Formats: sequence, C-alpha cells, structure tokens
Amino acid sequence: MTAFGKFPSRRFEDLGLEAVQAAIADAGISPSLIQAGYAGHARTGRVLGWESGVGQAVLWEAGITGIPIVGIANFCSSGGSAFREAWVAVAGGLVDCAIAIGIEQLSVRTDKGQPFTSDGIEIDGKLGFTPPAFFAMVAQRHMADHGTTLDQMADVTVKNRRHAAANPRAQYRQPTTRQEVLASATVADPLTVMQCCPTGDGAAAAILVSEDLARKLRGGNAIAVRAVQLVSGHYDPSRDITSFEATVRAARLAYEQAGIGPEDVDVAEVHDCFSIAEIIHYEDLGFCERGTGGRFVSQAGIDGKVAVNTSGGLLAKGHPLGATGIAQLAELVWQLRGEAGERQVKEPKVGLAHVVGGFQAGDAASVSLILLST
Amino acid sequence: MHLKGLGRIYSFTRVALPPKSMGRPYIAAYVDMDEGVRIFAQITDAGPAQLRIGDRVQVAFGQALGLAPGTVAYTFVPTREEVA
Repeated sequence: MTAFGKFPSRRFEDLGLEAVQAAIADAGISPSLIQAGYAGHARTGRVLGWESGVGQAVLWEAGITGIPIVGIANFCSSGGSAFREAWVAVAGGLVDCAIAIGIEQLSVRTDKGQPFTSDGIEIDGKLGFTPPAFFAMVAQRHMADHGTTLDQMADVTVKNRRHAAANPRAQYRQPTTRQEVLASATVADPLTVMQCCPTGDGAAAAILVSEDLARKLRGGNAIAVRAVQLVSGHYDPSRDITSFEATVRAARLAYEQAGIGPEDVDVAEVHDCFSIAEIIHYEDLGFCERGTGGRFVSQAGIDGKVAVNTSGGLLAKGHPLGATGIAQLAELVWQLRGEAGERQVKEPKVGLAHVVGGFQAGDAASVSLILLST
Repeated sequence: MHLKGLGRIYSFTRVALPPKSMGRPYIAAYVDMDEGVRIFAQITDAGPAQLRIGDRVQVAFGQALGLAPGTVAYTFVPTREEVA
C-alpha cells in the first residue's frame, strides 16, 4: 500500500501503480501470472470524473492488460468488496491468481465544506443528516444506555494515534492526549474533530492465489484467507443504533466459516470512522459484552486482549474510502508475518478486517468482514 | 400510514460544525413516532440544554435549514402532549 495522506499533485494512476507494484514484488510473482483484477473505489466518479475504468487505468500502467478487470463501487466497503470478488474467482477455481486494488483520491475534490455524505440519503441529507451527526446520535444513545464516557471515546483516538506514530504510512502520526482530543472543536456533540477520521488519498493492493500456487511462492509461507463475508443491512424502524446488526451477522458468518470464535482474534482492523464507532464494533464483533465497549478501549492496545487498529485505523492512518478495506489487510498481513516493526503484536495467529459502508434507511448499506491467519 | 405528528426523541445531537448548505449550527434528531416509525429531522424552537432523550416532540411545518427559502419542511418542537 501507499502512504495515506493528501497528495493532490499525484495522478491517481500513480498511487494505484505504486500499490500494485509493491504487492507484486511482495508476492514474488510475475505480473503475467495475474488472471483477473478488481478495483474498489467509492467516489472516483464524483471526485475524479472516473466512474468506470479506474482498474484498467492502474493495471495497464503496470503492464497488466487483456485480463478481465472490473470496478467495484460499494461505499466504504468498496475495497473489501473488491477483495471478495478476487476471492470468489480464486476460491471458486476460476483463476489461480487475482489482484484486488483499493484506491481513492479525495484531496482534489472541488466541493469542500459540504459533507461527504453517502448516496441513498437524499432527503435526510438536505435536512442535515451527515455521518458525524449520525455517529454523534449513536454516541448520545450509548452514553445514555450504557454509561459510556467522553473520556473512553477520546481514548480511542489517543490509542489509534499512538499506534499510528509507529506507522510510517499513516496520515496523522503525532501522538495526542485525552485533554487535547476533548478540547478540539466540536463537530456534532459529543464528537470533537479529533474523533472524526480525515479524508485523504491512497491505494492498496492484495494478491490472492490458489493453495497450489501459494505453496510455490514466498517459500510457501503465504497468509491464509479463512473467511470472507459481505452483507447489507435492512430496514428496521425501531433499530437500536448502538449496534450494527449487519456487523453482528457478518461476524457470525465469518467465525462459522473459519471455525473459530471472537476469542481467537489476536489483531483486528475495524472501521473507526468515529471514536464511538470503534466502541460499538468491539461489542458487535464479540470482543466484549454488549454495552461494555467503552471499558474495552483500555484492552485494545498493542498488548491488549485484542490489538485493535494497530495501523492507526481510520482515525489516524486515514480513510481514502475505497482503499481502506485492502489497506486493513496489508496491516494484518504484516502483523501475522511479524513484520510490523515497533507496532508489532506478539505472535498473532488470527487477524480480522471489518468495514461498515454507507447508509440505507438508517442502517449500514454494506459490511465486509475478512479473517486471515498464519 | 397516517401519522398524528407526536413522538419521542430517540437520540439527538447539536451539529456545531455544520455543512455549508446548513449555514449555522442546528439540532439533528431521530424521532420515534407514536405509530412506530422513526424520522430524521431538525428540532427547532429549543436549545440542546432543554432537550433529553425520551422527550415528547410534535411535528411542525415551516422553514428548515438547508432547504431553499419558501420550501415548507417538517421539523419537531417540544411538547407536553402525551399519547392521546
């Protein structure tokens, strides 16, 4: 993956090419081995004027042409969804080797000052529905129902900034304090600006190969894909917004597919678009009991019960929408191989990647969940 | 479904850093209507300090932030009226 940040002077093709070439070099394969390509990008149509063809533009620069190449737009889950398509192709036996790319360049957008809202909420959007407003309402409700505190929410940012300080690819690498997080400007009460993820640019790529091919590459020590799940939410007018049922369902399906449970997860990259989001994900993914997510923050560090967002997460590593799902996998692979440097978790065996994307009728439009293991 | 216009605040927030189209801070809320549907809307005629989760609110029709002048929109205002 590339570094995440704001790179308005770079061409998006260059960002993608950098990620693709890094993945190919890491896998130790020839580009000619790749038989299918899937590119996840959520907002390239609106921001760059490229609704289709992003995957071709990137892969052709890498000399990968002629093969089927498809763009996948699925909110923040675009990268995870591209990975799923590549997995379907390989696991289904259609190809031996596929590449999944996630890419986004948001710094060049011309409508700054307007919320980067999701599709599918037009009327609510006009009336002031924004992602920070939604998650602020989640936070208000979580505080009222479960006693979650402002300090616990701020600590999510403090933890993820601490992790990002050891990640050279992260957008925000300066450590911070609870006081500084709480004193930063309020976006939507109680969420302050340091509890909201930034927008930015970046790209990531992953190469999936069949088991047979995996034995011949990298000395046979490839990371295994244990589960891939993609679900959508549903309309529920009395939904408890302090939980995403779609995350609960995707996690249950993924744990069943892998034959493991939440207690087996050592390292997790979860969708911390806002501080409160990470707290509810702890609960929905089964890392802790319902309502206790606020207290679990102290157990989610590098040495914690589950090391969550060792990359810095969306809050500190950054969130170039479509790139996020694949970038999460890059972090998990480095962790599982023991290559994560100063932020290395002690001998992790199982990693979990989780993205919540979009809104549809007040629920998550798309949730992707992927489990990897050594 | 016919809605009588009465409901309860499910959750709310004061959006302090508003999108440009809104112009100034506002209160955003999910309101659970007595008939069982949830509506996203602005709460007008009340400050955040006067509001609590679970408060009764009533629909009002008038100007809402973010819409073109002259557009009639629904907002909610505090009420003491309980279920009829």
